[in-house]
Amino acid sequence: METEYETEQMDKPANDAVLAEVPRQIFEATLGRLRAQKAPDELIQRLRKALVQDVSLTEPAIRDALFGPGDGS
Amino acid sequence: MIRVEKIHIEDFRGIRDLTLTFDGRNFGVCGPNGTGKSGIVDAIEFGLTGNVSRLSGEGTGDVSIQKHGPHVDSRDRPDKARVVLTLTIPSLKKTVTIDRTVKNANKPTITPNDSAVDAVLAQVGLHPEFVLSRRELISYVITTPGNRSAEVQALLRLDQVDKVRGILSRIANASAKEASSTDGEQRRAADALVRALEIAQLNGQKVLEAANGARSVLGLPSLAALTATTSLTEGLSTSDAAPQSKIAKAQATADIQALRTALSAVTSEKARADQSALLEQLSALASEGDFAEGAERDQLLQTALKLFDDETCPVCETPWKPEDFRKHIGSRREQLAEIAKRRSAIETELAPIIATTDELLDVLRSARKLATQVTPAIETTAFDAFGTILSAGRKQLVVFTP
Repeated sequence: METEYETEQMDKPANDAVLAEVPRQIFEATLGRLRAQKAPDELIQRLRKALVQDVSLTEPAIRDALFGPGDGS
Repeated sequence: MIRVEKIHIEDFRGIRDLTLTFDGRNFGVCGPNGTGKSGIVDAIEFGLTGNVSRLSGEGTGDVSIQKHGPHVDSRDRPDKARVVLTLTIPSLKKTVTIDRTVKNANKPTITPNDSAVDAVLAQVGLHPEFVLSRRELISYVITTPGNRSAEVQALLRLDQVDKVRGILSRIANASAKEASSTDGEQRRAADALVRALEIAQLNGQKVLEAANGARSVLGLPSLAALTATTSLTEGLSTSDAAPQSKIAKAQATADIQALRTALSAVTSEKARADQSALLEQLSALASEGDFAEGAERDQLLQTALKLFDDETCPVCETPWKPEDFRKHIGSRREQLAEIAKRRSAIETELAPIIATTDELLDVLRSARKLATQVTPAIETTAFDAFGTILSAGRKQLVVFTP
């Protein structure tokens, strides 16, 4: 008998949270342009974490990255 | 680079038991429909990544590797669905075996299991374009030149970038609306301050002078400067005993005039005509049924087009002629695009009406307060009733904005 946890694990594709190489390069280039435009380092770090590291491509996650946790809603 | 030497497939997709030896060479698979050609491609992708791209991701709904990866006779036995890949990695001069079951798709047995091998396999996961189904290959051939770039973008998973672009657009639009609303509030607050201080225009020096003039009448010290946290009523003592309310005649006159102006703005013939026209448009739009979920429906139709196998609809499994199916879906997408266009136009017209309603509500509150301060007090039932109608109307209008 599967536990709920096991079932959940099986349902999730192995590379679900993997960012494909080309999007990664595009996001990195965009972050580079933001840096060139003197956007705050803190903002760039939050965006990099959401887009490249965590691959949290959801509206709440990107709002949090843009405005800081809890300030974007 | 990775070369596939051998693959062994058990109870996976449409394949019961199959071993193929490629010896690292290019290979082709041919056979009648339904004999499992695509299953071999799925098995190679699954063996390398633990994923089958056409069974996962956006638009595949309830389809999942766990449920649809195992052979139909072993649907409830994901532990039996197994792929064993034997690979060579020329750069490492190593032969590697990956043994993966659907049950433990995320935890394959990799031999040898070292960091160099892991790094090479991780690179595969970053390049989903290494798997192209027959349908995808055909679509690149038959697509029009104008659409080819879109197909290539999909291949390179630029949908992830598109998704982020869409989210950023929504956030930008919402922020622009919030900024517009905040601008309106700021403007109304400024108007109220100008009326209250009886000054001609909002100017820091004039506000300070007028406020200090009023403070001197009350015996309060003058304010030296205006800052973001300055309170014009600083030092004004409050008494427990309810003070007798006094009405500043000039401010009251200005408030009433503002109410008259706002009322005439919403009750003019032109305003009424605009409102009626907008109401008709909103009713027509609401009757379409698709307007609320238009974007999601369009996504579904795009996915249906992508998954269509030239025989049956991938959603309802109804048989279709390819040209009829594409024409039907194209027609539905055009309808949705038209609805989205109309909705966007209506949103543009709604914004000033909502702003005017906010202004009217604001001055109505001021007038209601005056009504309770005069002697004898004026009955406020009509104010409340009108305010309730306005608030309800505003709420209904806001529903139509994103």
